[in-house]
Amino acid sequence: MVVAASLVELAERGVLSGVVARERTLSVLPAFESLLPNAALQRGSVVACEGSAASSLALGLAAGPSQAGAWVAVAGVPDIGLAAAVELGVVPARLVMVTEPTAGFNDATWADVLAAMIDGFDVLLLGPGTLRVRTNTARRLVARAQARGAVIVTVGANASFAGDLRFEVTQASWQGLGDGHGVAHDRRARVQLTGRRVPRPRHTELWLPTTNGAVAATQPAAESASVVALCPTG
Amino acid sequence: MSDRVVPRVAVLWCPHWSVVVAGAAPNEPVMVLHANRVVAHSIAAGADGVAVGQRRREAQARCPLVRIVQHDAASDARAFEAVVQAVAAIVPRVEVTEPGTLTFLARGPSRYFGGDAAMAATVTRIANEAAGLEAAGGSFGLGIADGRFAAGVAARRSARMSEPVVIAAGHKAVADFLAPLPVRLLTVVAGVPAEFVQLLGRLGVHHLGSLAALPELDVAARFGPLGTFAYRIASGGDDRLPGTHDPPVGLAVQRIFEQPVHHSDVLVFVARQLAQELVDQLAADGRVCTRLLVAAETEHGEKSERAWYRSNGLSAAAMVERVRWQLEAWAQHETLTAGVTLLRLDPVEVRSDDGVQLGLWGGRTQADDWAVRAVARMVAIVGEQQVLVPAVQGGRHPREAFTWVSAVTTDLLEPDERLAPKSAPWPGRLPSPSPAIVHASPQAITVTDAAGCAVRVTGRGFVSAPPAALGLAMHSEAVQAWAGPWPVEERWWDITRSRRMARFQVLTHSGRLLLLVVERGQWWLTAEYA
Repeated sequence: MVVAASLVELAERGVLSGVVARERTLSVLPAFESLLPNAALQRGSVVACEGSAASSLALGLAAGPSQAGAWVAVAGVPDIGLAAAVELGVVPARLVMVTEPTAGFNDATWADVLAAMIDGFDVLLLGPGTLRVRTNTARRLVARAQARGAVIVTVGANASFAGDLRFEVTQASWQGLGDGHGVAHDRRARVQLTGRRVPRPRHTELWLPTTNGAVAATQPAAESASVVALCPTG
Repeated sequence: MSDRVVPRVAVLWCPHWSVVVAGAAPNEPVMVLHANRVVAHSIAAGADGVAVGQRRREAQARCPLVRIVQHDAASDARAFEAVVQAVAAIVPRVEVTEPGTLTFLARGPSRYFGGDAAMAATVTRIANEAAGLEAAGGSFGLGIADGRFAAGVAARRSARMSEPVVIAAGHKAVADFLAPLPVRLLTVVAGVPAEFVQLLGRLGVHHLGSLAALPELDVAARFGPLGTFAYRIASGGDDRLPGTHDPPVGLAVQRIFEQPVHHSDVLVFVARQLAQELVDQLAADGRVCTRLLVAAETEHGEKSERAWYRSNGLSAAAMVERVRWQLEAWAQHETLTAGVTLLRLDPVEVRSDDGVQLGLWGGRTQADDWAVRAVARMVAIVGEQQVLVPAVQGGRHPREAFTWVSAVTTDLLEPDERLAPKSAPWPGRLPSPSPAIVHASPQAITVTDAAGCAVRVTGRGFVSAPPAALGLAMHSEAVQAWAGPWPVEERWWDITRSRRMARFQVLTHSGRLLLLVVERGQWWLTAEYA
């Protein structure tokens, strides 16, 4: 009797779908590899993007998985710039957004929508609109994301979804804009990573974005590699 | 291979099972959608021109009053369990191919009931009663023939004629039955890729008979394993793919629970591990499972055992899905008295894997399927106006390059149409990078010069004074750098829709880079390079 009740109940709640999360990581763009602990995003983790370039940072983080075939869902960021998202590397064919009507969603609706998103998408970008989600609901959703292997990226600080990793743009400077002339063509951003599994803060410098809108490290990674002689010299 | 005995098979098939599950009244137009395409429709909808494979809009245009139901494979499977149980009570070794279709070996039951016709009538009646189909004015089709393909075709004909179709035993009878039928049935019934069938059509092979009349070796040389398979089933031969065999014993994977399990999510979780283990094991030998026996047993000895068949082979995810269907149906149709102690996955038929699986490069992947399903669910929760996908629009302003369209108006898995780049150039478009935040409705702001006077732009594109401060809603910010104006004059030929404006990029002291537009003396904040 107990089984029957619980099986049907679970089936109705839709708890039963899922994915075989064999590979527990999602690959990121090369620019972020040196910054992240395993050079990849851990599935089931919550990543917060803060600072003046939070939107670009979040889109840049979503771009890697997106190019590898993952679907990206956006919620609570109605003003996201699609052209910028595409330039940063997000594949528009696998991008879906949920917008709030003017009246807004209540907590229960957010819970249902985000649960459906977690079940079907690998990366979720959650913006300020989701601040209204209660902490308890958010905790349940995060647990579900862990079971399902989805990565939640929050744009801006989000108290409900406490981040495992926290990216922050500590310094940013736009190049190219003068006093009445020029055009802003790229931005040098210093990104700091802190978090639970990061013993001491890590830093990197990125072009976020570069002149053509993409993300790139300011120094190519090859420079740090040591030079090995391939044939005897001298 | 071809001298292998072709088993006599009965196929029980319900046209548009999803519609039956949706509970359509007779004469009510209903259609079932998956990924914005029609997958099933009622008779009344079909009479108005709705067809499987149509887009939603097209189908609605033909039949505006149609009731729309979203496809839910799990509920289809749950509802079908009643039919499976009713049939399994009188026929051994029933296999579920998919919700709405079952297959069983016909020889034994026919002998018991006194002939194919008598058995067919009995099974059809029982299935119709179990599904409550007569009330809805529909009926299961039942076809009996040598080989799964011929039986499947016969079942489809039977559903149309509302009486069982029995093809006489023997290779010749099957070949004669199939010969005048179109090659399209290879796709519909046997799951042969549609491209292959189209190619046959272009080569002038329109009927199964003309395919069967070709020399087998030539077909094999031209089309490879797929051609051999199509040739074989078209000529009434064995429909098991070449390389199909009974697996060596000991491939079955099972898990015995010390603690009886009371929740199906735990079982599904374990099934996932078992399925992966099984698929890995088979894949190591280059094989794939086509028929899987799923068995579960409770502490008190209650058993659930089902065979699941899929001609293309069952992936791990497909296995898990079938386990879930079976468990849900089991829990719904029987009152279980104890927790589950045993779960077993037993591959009873395997074949060499020739790669007809979900696409690895391109094509449709598992992630795509999940996303499409999630989108359908989100639409059900919040409505179709709130779930959006990008589409290319084209324009000078960052907001105009792309637009958001409702996800239900497009085919999510065929995005080429909505994302095809528009060829028109947009002179005066701002160069990349594009702003990461584009306000849907621009915010009014004030721009003042060093003296505190509003900055103006003349009709000839001169700025009255360099901007020095911005007045946003609550606070003001000093300007560090700026560029502009970049004037735009749009649709000057249209009096009502023409616009003249000038754009500015402004960098504030706090490091925010903003895109401003001035139009008729009013400044707007339209986008931010965040």
